[in-house]
Amino acid sequence: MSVYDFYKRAMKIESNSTGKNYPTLGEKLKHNSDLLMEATWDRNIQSKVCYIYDYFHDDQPELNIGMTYENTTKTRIDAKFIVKSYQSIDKDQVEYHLQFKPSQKMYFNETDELYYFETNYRKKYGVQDFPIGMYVDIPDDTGLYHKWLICSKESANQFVKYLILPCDYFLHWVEKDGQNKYKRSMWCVQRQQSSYTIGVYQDRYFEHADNQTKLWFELNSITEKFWYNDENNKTMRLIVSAPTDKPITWSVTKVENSKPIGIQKLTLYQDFYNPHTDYLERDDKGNIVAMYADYYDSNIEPSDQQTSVDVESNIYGKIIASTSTIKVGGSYKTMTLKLYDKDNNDITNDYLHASFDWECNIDGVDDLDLSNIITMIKGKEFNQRKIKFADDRRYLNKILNVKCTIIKDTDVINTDVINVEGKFELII
Amino acid sequence: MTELKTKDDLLNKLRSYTETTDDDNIRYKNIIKKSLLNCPELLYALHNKELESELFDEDNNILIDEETGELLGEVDRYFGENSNIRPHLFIPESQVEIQHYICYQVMFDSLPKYNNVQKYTEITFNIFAHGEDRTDKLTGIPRHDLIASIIREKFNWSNIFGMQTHLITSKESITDSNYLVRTIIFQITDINGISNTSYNGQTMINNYKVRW
Repeated sequence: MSVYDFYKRAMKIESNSTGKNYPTLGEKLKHNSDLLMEATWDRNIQSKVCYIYDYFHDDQPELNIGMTYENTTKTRIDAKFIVKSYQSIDKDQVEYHLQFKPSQKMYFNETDELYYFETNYRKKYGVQDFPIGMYVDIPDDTGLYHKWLICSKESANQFVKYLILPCDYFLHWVEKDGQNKYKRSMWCVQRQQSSYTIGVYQDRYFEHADNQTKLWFELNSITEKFWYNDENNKTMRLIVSAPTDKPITWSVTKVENSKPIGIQKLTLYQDFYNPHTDYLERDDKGNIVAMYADYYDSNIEPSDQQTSVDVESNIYGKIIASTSTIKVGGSYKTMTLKLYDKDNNDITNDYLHASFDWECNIDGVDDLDLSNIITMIKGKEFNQRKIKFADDRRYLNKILNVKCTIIKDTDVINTDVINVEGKFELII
Repeated sequence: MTELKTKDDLLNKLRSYTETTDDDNIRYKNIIKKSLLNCPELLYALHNKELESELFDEDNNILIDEETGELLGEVDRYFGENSNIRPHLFIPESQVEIQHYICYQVMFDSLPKYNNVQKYTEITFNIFAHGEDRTDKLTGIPRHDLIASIIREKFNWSNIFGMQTHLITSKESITDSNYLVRTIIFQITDINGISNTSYNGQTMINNYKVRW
């Protein structure tokens, strides 16, 4: 075929030389351009070997610099890191562009490593564009990897790009989930929030701090729980600060999670540090390693992120209630005992005819006859009890341990095997 | 002379304020709390969807001990510094859900003329009904009026505080942020704190005694 014949074939609309039909000449030229982009990809200084992942596939969740990738759970992806604008000191962090290969899949099936994006993000939250909301590790000019958050999409006729921001703050917080409290931590992006004040606000009697800031997160099953108030209807507070002895504390005043869907945006207003409830965790050298707001708002400390239960006996149990507190002089509180097998299946009903022996004691108070203080009656179901604590304020802030021994045939099982289960703080 | 040797002694002395006749503010607030939490009509009228299962079972029977009249659900969740019923007028947290509130205060600022042994205690209930749920659909009554009437029924002309209680004010208003409000005030002519209960001791009248 001559060069002229080749040219005619290439420019012909609806030609079939490659097996593909294109509705317009422009589409066909674009395809050729895509092929060129693929073919010349590695020659460009902007081309990087990156790793893309969500929070749950982050095998080094505490790092935002210097990650390594032996046996990683992250997915390797080729991308170009494009500097589109330059940083200015007085302005917010500028975003950069990330461009993927034209051949990069944007939709995944069950055999793909990134199929979890389809189930956990696109289907669950309606995230329209992969990979909005995901983290991406990009090497700098020395080869050191940095963590970035993919925040938005720059649509284009060709070579679509995504706007990325560096993850620059590792937030620690306490998540309340019914009767459970968990310690959480996650990398996020700090953004400026314009605040045209002098930094304090003064009324007739008091002056208090007056400042605002913003945090952006990946929207996932953990960050979706950020809200104006926590489960106890108290204002949600966070510590966002350099690790100093006087940390800056904030309350959540705005939650936005639909612009775009995939990013959880929080606006924070400066709040008071509470030395009674806020906690600065230190290492053995005295350096602050984590800062939690409202860590000690109850005497039951939060546990580390949900861990699987010890299943030595193949069966384990939990005592479940609406909250982790019992009110002194309050009404009956329903305790429900649940039993699970080693695969976490609920097998409580298998013990319908077993005997349940419930007992209580108070931490730090030995040899106390609780029969005058605690009233226990049967609940609606066979695995329930209702417990009421008398109006005796001497036990305020103490921990009530609720234990249940289940006897079925000759098997004896102690259910209080995990600290968080069956412990209730006595409050007013 | 009060002898306080340990922290527990100190705490027990302070805890006794909820029961002794020395301080009416704390004691009356405690009485109000118990009274409101044992009133299923009031708790129903607060229309907290999450807690309604603590009032009624699936057959719409009230969860109540028929012998003692005590409510069997977790009704104490209606009360607290972040709950529907609060012993102060202070709602600092952001309101992002439709909730109704009863805030009560106990105070006095006047005495009967020529008589400093008594005082006019006022118990104020501020009822906040969110505008988006302002009418109780099953009774057809505006919610702030309904709650106020239930409270009136419980306290007006009662001796729940010892002395007789009278309703002296019932006013409506509205907040900027779309809550319908009814403020009701009860007045009690009661003793002006003339008793003094020493730690682990007896309650005595102290108005004619010199104390340093």
